[in-house]
Amino acid sequence: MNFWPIANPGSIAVVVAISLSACSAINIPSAAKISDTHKVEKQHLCGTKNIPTRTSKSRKGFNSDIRYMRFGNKYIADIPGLERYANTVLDNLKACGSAKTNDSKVVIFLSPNFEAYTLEHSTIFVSLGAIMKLRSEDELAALLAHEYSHVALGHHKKDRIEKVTSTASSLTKGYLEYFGSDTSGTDLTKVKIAEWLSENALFPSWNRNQESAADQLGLNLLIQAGYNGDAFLVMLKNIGESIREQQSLLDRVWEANKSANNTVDSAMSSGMSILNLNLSENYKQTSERSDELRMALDEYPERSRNPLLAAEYRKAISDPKIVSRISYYGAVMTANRVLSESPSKAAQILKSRYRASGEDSYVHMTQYYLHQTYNRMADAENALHSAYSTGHAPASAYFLLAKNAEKKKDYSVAYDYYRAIDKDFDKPKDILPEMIRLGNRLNKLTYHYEARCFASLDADLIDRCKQAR
Amino acid sequence: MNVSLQIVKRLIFLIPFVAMAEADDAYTDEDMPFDMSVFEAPGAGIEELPTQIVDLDTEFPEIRVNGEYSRIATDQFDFSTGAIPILSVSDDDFFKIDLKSMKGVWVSSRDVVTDLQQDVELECVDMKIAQAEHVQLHGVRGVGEACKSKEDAE
Repeated sequence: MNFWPIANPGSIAVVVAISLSACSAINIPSAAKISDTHKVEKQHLCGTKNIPTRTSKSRKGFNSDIRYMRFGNKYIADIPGLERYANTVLDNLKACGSAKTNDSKVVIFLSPNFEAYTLEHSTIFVSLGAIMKLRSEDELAALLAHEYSHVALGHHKKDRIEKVTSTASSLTKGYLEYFGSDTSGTDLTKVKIAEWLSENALFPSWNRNQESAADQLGLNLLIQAGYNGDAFLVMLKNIGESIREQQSLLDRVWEANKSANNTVDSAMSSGMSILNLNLSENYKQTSERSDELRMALDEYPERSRNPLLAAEYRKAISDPKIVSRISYYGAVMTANRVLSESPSKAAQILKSRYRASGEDSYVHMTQYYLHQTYNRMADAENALHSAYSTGHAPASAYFLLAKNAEKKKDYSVAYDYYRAIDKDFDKPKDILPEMIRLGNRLNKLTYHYEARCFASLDADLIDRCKQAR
Repeated sequence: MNVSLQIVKRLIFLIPFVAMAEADDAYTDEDMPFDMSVFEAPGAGIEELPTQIVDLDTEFPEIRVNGEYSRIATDQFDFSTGAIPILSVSDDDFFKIDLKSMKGVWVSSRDVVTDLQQDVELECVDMKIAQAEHVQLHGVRGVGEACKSKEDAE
């Protein structure tokens, strides 16, 4: 039986730091590094611009973006120093941009993979895996310039996102169905795939034209801000590597399931296939984008060719408080990764960190999956409750608590958890059929949920709401 | 008697801390999902640098000769012996190599693949899965264009 490590959809066995292989034959000593350029202090050429300050409306939007991440089972990292640094770099770029608002802000989230998202209210989410994979401030600036350009170009507006996500609504449905399936015991593969699917549905890639436009504008911002534009190519290389690692991982999951003679149902097969298709498409796009960027770079013959700001980057992220938090999160991610092959090792890693975890929902959820692995269902439920009590729990904690309550025929509690999802995650439409079904069972009025269902104009959802009645 | 009891109590009190120490022993930075060596002071460890160019990442890699930048056709790169030795690495990540027609040319690290860059051999999961389940999106979004099946590789 092979199942997959869990709590964070991205926290799978993808080790990001693979670019430096440990098995290459000969090292060229550092002394062989020869300076062929004149090192010039980088200047932020746009200086500081008066950008309107954040309003209460933008703060509301920011909170909404955070909730969306939690709905997609992402965990926000608590590393204020790192976030401040990333936002300083973003400010350097903003000063060169023409955006009229200051809503964009960088937030670090927990994933070992190279990921970044820009959500509806302009919040830019960068994974800890990406931060750790980057090696210079220029590369971070390239990543942020690209994401910020999506904001400047208006790609992040909800109506545009809706168009992309409409094709993925069936995936979200699948995600809910998987969470509705029996998640007891050690059969966690389905949960893992459900989480991947939800991630895929909730955080779709931009279309090809949008990516190209963001690259062109981002490159311009990067160069104007005084960074080395070549960092864009380095950043894309990192993304390409990360996609390949994820494809390889997906392949291993598939093979492991096959060799363990597990039943891979058709929905799961479809889900994995869609995931792989998307990864393939993303990889192809990354390669094409690199070629386009090379041509674009040639249009800036006088651009800065300064060495990338590696020492500055290293210094910024090496603050003891930042290192301590990264080590902590890295350890919990490792516990997640080794959960399937070596639950005892995962238990050891968590043991010394669990008591210091406090309000960290990530460690509570990891603890939940560990208890599940050992079939300690009562402890698992306690861990879920602890995660839920933090107030920062991902949606999966709510869903699992609701399903556990339903299993115990405690429909009222289950209904309350769905209501909590409705309240805490900005009324996601996908849960409406469940709310109607449970509401009817408890003889509650459900017409307002049915009305929301019809108002969604989503034929598939309307159909499911009708069935739930 | 009281003293013995106190010793036993203290030992019992220590048990969880011993267990914690063991737990930490079992876990090293190597287990981390990311490379923690970034936190080491420069020069603290042996910096691993690439020694060979094993492939090119674009049709026209950028080179620098006497401080002037230009792009050059791929047929100038001599892969007849499998890989091109990197003679040195500049601060701005250009590699010094010998081309067919020129010696000691700097080529941009962004445009090449080195021996340190792991190239994950891919299999097309979707091809296998397609046999089990028809998926609506198949054939629409460039199935498997980025991945290589085992059969192809062989």
